[in-house]
Amino acid sequence: MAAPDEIIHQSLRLRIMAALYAARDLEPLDFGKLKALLQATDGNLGSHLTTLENAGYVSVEKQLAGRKPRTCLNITPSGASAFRNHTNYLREIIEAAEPDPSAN
Amino acid sequence: MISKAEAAASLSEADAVGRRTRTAGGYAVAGPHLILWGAIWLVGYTVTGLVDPRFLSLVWLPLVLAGTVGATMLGRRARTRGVRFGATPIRSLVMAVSIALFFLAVYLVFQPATLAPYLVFPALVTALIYLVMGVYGWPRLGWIGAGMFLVSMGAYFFAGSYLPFCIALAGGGGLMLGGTWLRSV
Repeated sequence: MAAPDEIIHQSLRLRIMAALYAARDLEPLDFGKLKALLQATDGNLGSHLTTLENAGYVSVEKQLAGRKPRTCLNITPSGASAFRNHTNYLREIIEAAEPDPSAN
Repeated sequence: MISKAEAAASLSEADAVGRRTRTAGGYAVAGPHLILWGAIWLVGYTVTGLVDPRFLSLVWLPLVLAGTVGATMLGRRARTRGVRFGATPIRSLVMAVSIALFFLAVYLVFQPATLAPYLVFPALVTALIYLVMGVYGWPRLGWIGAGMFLVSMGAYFFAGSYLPFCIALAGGGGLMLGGTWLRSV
């Protein structure tokens, strides 16, 4: 059975990871877009991003878009792997709790 | 240990966020394409309303070519920004040629007696494509399609000689506004 990831398990961090995982094939999300997608506050989002960055799950890159500074966020390979493992763990819990229809 | 209910709620939350992110990312890629083709549509139909119908191919061929080149450049720009899906130059070319052949074949089979069906049919097909995309998880495109469909049909029945200009505004303006709307996600 896959193991739970205590860092990703927290609700907002799970949603951050889900958004960044889905954005792997898209233009990188910036702080503003992620905030709008998750409907989170600046402070809350910032602190959870720092936790994920410290864990090596998210990379934060400051860029200039024209003259405006832009904070680009990407999921790292180890973050993507941890997210997959955690969602597999959640799926296994759901499947383990479901009765086997072929048992009767 | 997490309960089954907690696990299901967490997973459903993660899935919903993932879906929203992919939709928003798709909108950001599609928006500039809609603006480009909207501008081409607006120019093409406006000129169509002003010139002799015998010269329409001279109007539309360069415009479609310009659109294909522009779409290829937009695709290339998106790829440099990290987008790893969408049309390659070859796919864009095949798509443009297929669309042109489709319309030629339809006109050849049905041979409309007046210019009006020639003008309104591409708008209706475009509206249908957007409506179908709307049903399959791109609601904003669905609304754009519905708007294009209603305005095009209204113009077909009521605009008379102003039909090309109405289709120019409905199709071109609709696509450009739609593209801007998609980019604002």
